[in-house]
Amino acid sequence: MKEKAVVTAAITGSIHTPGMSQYLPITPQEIADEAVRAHEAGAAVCHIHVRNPETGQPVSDMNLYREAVTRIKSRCNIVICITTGGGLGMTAEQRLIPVSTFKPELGSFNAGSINFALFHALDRYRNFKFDWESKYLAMTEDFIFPNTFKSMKEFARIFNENDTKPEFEVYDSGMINNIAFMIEKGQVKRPVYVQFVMGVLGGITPSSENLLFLVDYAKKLIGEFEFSVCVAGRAQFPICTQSLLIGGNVRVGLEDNLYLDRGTMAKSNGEQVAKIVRIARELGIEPASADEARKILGLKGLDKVNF
Amino acid sequence: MKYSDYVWDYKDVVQFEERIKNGTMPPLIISVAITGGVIGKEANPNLPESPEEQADEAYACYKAGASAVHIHARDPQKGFAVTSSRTEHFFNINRMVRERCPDIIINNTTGGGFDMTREERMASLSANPEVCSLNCGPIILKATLPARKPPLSGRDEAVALDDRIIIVTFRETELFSQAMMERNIKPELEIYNPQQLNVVHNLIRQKLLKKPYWYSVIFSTYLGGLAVPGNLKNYINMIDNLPADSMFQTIGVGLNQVPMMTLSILTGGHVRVGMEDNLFHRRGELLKSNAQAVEKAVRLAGELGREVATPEQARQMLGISEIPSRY
Repeated sequence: MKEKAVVTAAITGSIHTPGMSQYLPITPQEIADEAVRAHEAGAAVCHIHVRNPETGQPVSDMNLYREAVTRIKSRCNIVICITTGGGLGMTAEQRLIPVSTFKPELGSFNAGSINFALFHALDRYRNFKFDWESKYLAMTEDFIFPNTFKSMKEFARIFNENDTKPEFEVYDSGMINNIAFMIEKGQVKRPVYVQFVMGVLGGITPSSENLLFLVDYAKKLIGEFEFSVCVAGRAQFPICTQSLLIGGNVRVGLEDNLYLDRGTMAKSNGEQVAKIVRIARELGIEPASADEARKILGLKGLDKVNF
Repeated sequence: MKYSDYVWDYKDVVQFEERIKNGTMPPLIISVAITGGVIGKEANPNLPESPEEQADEAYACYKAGASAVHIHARDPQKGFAVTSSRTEHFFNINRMVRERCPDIIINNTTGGGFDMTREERMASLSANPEVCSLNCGPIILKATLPARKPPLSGRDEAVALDDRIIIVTFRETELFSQAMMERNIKPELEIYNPQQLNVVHNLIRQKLLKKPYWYSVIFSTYLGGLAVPGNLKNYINMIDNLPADSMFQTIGVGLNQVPMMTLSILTGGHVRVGMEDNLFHRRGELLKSNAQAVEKAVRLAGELGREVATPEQARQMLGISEIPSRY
């Protein structure tokens, strides 16, 4: 275990829809408020997606990003990690616009293609606020989240150009090999920062064995690296706690899990951050401050972003 | 509770996920080893040694959420420095604990100490405990016991343990298990490494154990201990190797206590805390009381979604009489 761990809050994401939780932040103002709350509770990094302020549908609108990130930056020094997941059918170039526009310290970098499936949520959720929600979820039964080697090469180039540190989203073990390949080809520099994403249908399931396997396998392929773990669904706290126990960092937030405890919905990202911070402290681990996280992850600094 | 609610195959990752999703992990049994037989007040002045101190600590732990207490009676003739080899010392403490805690599960050691014969280590079996520890292999330690300075007594000089052994043979485990079965005592199988499960398999074959088999799985440090070092890989390996019909609690020695008990809470096991295993509340800060360690286990259980077992629930899960022992 280490003495300091980086806690990331994934504020709203693009997986959950407004009908699933009334607490999901939608507008740039709400997203900024939630990021500040998460920071106050101990998060050093926030992971940002934006949504259509009227309908809550995930979008990739630069004006919305700008409004969210400038509001956050005006209120606290939390590290802002912008998603490059984009939306269905967007080209690599389009998905990279947030990086070239805002030159953030950290950006998500999906390390391979997967079947990114949300359609099974329709078994559990029936009452939606907006028409798009059920269609959006249903569509994922036939959806591949594409991240080809050609597009990842382009991602690596743009991240390097803007001095944005990639946070490699690894949904399954083969993606570790993709990172190793990019390192070998000189597209990506060591030390890398990996976010293991467990529990997305289409990716690896969350369990102790799988977490250990991912970390061991990555050590063999890419040597020393910094990692964090996030989990879709209710295994979030159990598996994040195990990440802390094996020297990793953690990501929580309403992007990944809408609950605080069984049967209790999380009313804000701050509640989930506060909970993982309480657990970390019981284990003798302090949450890293934003500046400590910058050192741990090797980030360029808040003065070098373009927003 | 049905048997399958609290005993299942820990290797089954699908069931693990289901239990987390549905919140159907069994209630967490918290045991507390308040004293131990090795370290004493010379290392932490708050460690209970006298019967009165032990009974009071047991009560505080019971109030805090412990459903079982593991007791080493100390020998008053030796300044409470070592484990007693007399039944009446155990009986006396058991009686005092029962007065204060009407239904806590009373567990006595048969581990004894490095200077005791097999017969002396069996003395506790006649003190009417409900559970007894049963070591499944010999014990060696790389440790030196510091001298006990006045007002403490019982060990004027430091004692090195690095050339000593508590002998445990296959035959002995059969004898102990047989004696426990005759007295209706639940054996708590102390497992320090996967090889010791061979001893358990032998006891199962000899029909000397009843289901569910109840273990303490012990993790220590690379230096000093006999047990397998505490880390996630070893933890999974140990748990995966348990025979069917097993229930376990985790003992993490020293700094391993909190990480290992956390893993146990997360994966459906149970926990033992207390000063026998770990003298510290956190790095550099001694425990003020055993109850402080129990409170920590209760907090972690709460954060991680495990209900804390009442003594009644613990008795049901372990197959111990619902009528508490009397003294």
